[in-house]
Amino acid sequence: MTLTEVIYGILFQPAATLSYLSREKPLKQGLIVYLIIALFNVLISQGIEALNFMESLANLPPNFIWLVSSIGVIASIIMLFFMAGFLSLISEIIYGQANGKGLLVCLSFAYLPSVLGAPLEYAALLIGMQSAAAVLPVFTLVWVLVLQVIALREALSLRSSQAVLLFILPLLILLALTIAVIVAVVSIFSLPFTQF
Amino acid sequence: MQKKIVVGVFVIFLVVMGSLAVLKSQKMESGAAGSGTATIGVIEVNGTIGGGSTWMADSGASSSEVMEAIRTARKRKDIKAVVLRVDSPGGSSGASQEIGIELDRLRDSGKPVVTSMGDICASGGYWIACSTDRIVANGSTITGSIGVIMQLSNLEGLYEKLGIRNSNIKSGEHKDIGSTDREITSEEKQMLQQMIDDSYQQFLDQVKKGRKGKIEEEKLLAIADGRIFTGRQALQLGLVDQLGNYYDAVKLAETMAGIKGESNIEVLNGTDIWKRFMLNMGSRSLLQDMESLGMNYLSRY
Repeated sequence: MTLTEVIYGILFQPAATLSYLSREKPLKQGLIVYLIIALFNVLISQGIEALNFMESLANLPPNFIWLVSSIGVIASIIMLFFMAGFLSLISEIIYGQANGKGLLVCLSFAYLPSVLGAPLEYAALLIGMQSAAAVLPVFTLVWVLVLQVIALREALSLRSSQAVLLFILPLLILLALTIAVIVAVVSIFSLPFTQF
Repeated sequence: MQKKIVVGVFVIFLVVMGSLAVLKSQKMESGAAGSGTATIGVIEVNGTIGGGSTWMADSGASSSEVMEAIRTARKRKDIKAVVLRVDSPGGSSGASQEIGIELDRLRDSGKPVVTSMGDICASGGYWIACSTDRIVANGSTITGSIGVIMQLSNLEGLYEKLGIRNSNIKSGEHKDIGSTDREITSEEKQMLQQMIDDSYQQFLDQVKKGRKGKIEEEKLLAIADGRIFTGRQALQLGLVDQLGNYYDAVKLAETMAGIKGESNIEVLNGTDIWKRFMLNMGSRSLLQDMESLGMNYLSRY
């Protein structure tokens, strides 16, 4: 498959394309595509900020937003690796299926529709369609989430329900941890020895 | 073929949006605000005024960078007026003076210049304000301090305690004037006093020129002893033209330039984030090192 076919496939035939990518594992290509998308989104965000001009932003030192965005790109790449490794590990523990490298490639390409989010929002703002500008990024976000679940399913050879569960598992763990911390904090502060 | 067409359209859309975003963000990066056709250039003078680049000093206003911004304002046709935003306690005489000269040239080109005083606009800060057409101050701005100071330290005793012995090989008797390893002689003191008096006279001339018709000479001489004033006191004395904030100064500049409606406001010398980062990362400046050694014998306004 050429890159053009992969891009087309991700947009219109995601299951088959992600299945192919999980087998072939073109890691370099995947990471380059991911990086380009992330940088492109930063670029478009600058245009959106300029349209939604805020004086507080103008008072920031020049390049400040670029600096913050660059840190965001680096953080998202680290998160991508973490996500692929963590989900593959959890899958191995629960389902006995692991494919870290394949999953990393699939998740990189699954990010592709997000490249449309910011430009569509920007285009909507340019033509004065504020409501569309609010909805379109959400649409692409949902598209990416669906593709990430398909990526999990194809890369780890899971059923759709297993992939969904695996995908939301980190969120459930995080939620459980948050509740546990809140309960612990409340309990500690309600103990009698804290009363002076 | 169909796939190539679809992907091609996809890429073209992204390229077009990317190009538009770059054009828009360039405007924002330059600190431009507003949607008018005329531009008000804002030049910031923050901190101690000094010569050279701010790379050499931890903070403060570099005269070379401020002058560069003034020249930009003079050359750009879309800039119709300039607001000089000053938040400075003063600085070196030469640096303040050269900024003042450049401001005079800007005014000679026909562009009105308005000073907006921030928290403090004293001494060298007031010198440069006198090279603008109008001065707007906040009621509690600290201003004035018309005078010149040179501070010298004698570290002879300290050197002795530390066991440091300095040797001066000099071409003339006064080449080591202001040296920290000996007491200043009365002759040297007299020479330096003459220098300070001359600098002070230049400062007075600058204020007389800048505030011509707004403050009488006798009145000026009575208050030009280094004392400081609030913005409101300065207004009563004729050292400033009106009370108001930054936006009042912008409005005044728009009126003076004959701009009707909203104008763009563009900061011409905003500090680059990388430079600011480097400045924060950097240790002490050369100037600070010199001062800590008692070598601050540059006269200051």
